Amino acid sequence: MLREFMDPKFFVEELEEVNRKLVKGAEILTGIPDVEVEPTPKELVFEEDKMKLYHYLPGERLSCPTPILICYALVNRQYMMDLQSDRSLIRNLLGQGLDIYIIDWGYPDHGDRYVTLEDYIDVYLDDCVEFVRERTGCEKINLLGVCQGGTFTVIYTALYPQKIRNLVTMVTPIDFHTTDGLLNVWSQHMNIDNMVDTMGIIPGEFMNVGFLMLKPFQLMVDKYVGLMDNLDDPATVANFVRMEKWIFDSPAQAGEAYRKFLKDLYQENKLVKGELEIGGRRVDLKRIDMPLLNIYATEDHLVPPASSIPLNDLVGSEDKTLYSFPGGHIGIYVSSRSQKELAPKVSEWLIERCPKGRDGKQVCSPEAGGKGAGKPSAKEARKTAKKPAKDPSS
Amino acid sequence: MQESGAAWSDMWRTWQRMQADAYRGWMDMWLRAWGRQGKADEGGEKGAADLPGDLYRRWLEFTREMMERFAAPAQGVGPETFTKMFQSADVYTHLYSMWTGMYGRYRKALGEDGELDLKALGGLLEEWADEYRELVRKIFAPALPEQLQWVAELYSGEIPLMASGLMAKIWAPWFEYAREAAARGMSLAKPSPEAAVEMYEGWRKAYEESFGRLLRAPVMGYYREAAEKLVKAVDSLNEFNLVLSEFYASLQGAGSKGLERLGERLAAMQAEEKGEPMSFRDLYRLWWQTNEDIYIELFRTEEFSRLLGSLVDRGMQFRQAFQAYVEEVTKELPFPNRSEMDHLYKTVDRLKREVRALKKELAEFKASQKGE
Repeated sequence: MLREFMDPKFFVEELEEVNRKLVKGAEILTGIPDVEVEPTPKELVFEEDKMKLYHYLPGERLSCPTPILICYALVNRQYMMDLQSDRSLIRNLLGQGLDIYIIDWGYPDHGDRYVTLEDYIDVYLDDCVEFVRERTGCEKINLLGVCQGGTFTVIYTALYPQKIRNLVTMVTPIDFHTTDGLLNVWSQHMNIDNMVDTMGIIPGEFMNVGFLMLKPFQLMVDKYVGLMDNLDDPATVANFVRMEKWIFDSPAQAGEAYRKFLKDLYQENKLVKGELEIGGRRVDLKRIDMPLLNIYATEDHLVPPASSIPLNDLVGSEDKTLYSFPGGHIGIYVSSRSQKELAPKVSEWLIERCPKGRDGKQVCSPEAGGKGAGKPSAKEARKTAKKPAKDPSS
Repeated sequence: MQESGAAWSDMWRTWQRMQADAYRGWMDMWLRAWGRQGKADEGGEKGAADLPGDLYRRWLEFTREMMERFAAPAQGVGPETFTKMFQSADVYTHLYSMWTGMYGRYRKALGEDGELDLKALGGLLEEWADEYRELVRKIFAPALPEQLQWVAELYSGEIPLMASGLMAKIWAPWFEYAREAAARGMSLAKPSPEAAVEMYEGWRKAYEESFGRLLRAPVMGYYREAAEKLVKAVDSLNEFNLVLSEFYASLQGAGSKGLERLGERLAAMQAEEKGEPMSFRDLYRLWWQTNEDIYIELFRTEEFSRLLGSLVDRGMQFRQAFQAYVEEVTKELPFPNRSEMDHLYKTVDRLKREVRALKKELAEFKASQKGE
């Protein structure tokens, strides 16, 4: 069989095929328009410093009046959840009848080097929660955290459990002392203080070097070789370029927040130990007593399952679900399986836990005598959505 | 006239005698130079490196003696002028001799195995410094007025001894590095990442113990601050490069290991007569996956993790030092530097927090007023 491989005719044929694709690919690449991301319509409803809060225009029907606020990571951009119309977790969740808000953290620059983890949780995230509560009239809202944003939502919910109806975490690092992930291993020997003191903000490019090193051959070599196989397919090339844009669209990390996140969590694992303090208050995970849906990806190389799974044992919730998704850290948002399975799973889980009033109708605040029950229709939600953005300083 | 004739007669006899002596001197010198007189003669002890200087010095001695005798009757321009002229020329021979002497001592300090005996070198250089003292005294003292004779003593005293010690300290690490590098080059069949690291480590060590010391010496003068910061930046860049070479070496080592494992896998596949690569694409896939496995294995090790941490840390140290230098040399330019902006950012951050707190207090106050 190896002789077959060594056959010159074999080589020439392969070479011919590769060259044909290269020529065709060059034609496609030079003719491809600028890729567009975030196709789902949304509007800016609130902003504070560089942080922006968007509200997705709801679908025709609302399955549950309780809105869901999505908190993405500071690393990379939140539009991974709405990369393109046929690969959009957001679009699928909207299609299931959820009312969705999402936080865009923006691009920190040197002026943000002193922004702390407390600022992200106690100020920006809390102000978003407050805004959504006030806007929708719901006493409690649903919170969905993604990756590092998941850690933020866990910390937030432990500090403000009275504001959260259900908590959903996706590929969220909780136990940082697992040795399954290279980031967990490498971070143990990093002089974080020196990094932050020197750079002020941690550049996205610096972070990307670390991420690429996690799978050097796959991410720096094979990914591009693999593209060659499909260079003659315009749709595949456009998808590839769109993903490439997302991967390298990497905001910098605000220095002080990065310092605390890396030192207190990655290096000292304080969240799991119950030693983490935010603004002088200890973060007690047992205070998370509402329903929890914890989703992890079995092949996740950034946040290994061993880091996410322990959350269910640490919280005080009685209603808690651990959901295992067969895929990787990125595939959980963009794979076709994700579109078919994950979005329905999340929406079903939330709708099942949507509170009902005395009359059996879904409401968002049964505690307040059914407050918010007057917002069941998508039409009204659309109306609310058209309110101008609120300036927090006014 | 008789007196005058007698004088010329003496001079002529002297000249003839000198001619004869001169030829004899030349003949002796050449014989010694070519080793005809053996080691019993004082010249035989000298190394080959000293031969040209020796030859030239002897020629000068001979010529000076001849000219002094020839010009003896002429007062003022005779012996005194020639003596000074030849003393000046002699300076060159003495200096040449001095340097060849030092070189010879370095050679002596290098054993047959190429090992540099630093202790022996120290002793040899002290001997050389003694000779140097004597040399300086000989060169300068006659040329200086009596009142300034102390200058020759000064420059032939402690200073050359100290200077020779300093020179020994500066050059010794490089002799050692050169010896080790040569030995390593000869003993290695093929270059390896570890060898590259060792080479760089050796280089850095030699640099640290020689020019590094000079660079770290206190800087003085108008550009003191900038120069000091630049030196620190260069120093930290060297430190960074050292770890970087280790880092690259570890990656290269994994690459070599990957190639070996790929060979093993191919061999195993061939032995099984099934599943061997069908196409170049198959081989490529096997190649990158094998390498990926090897690199991940490396990346998981504690050793690599420490190395990566150290690399980043040294990189940060260099960046800090370089930033300090850039700020120093651009401080007169009409734009703010990073430190100044950071100060400003800090102030803005503090003010934002104050405004936020005040707004909160105001909102609470308004709410309480409404409640009343």
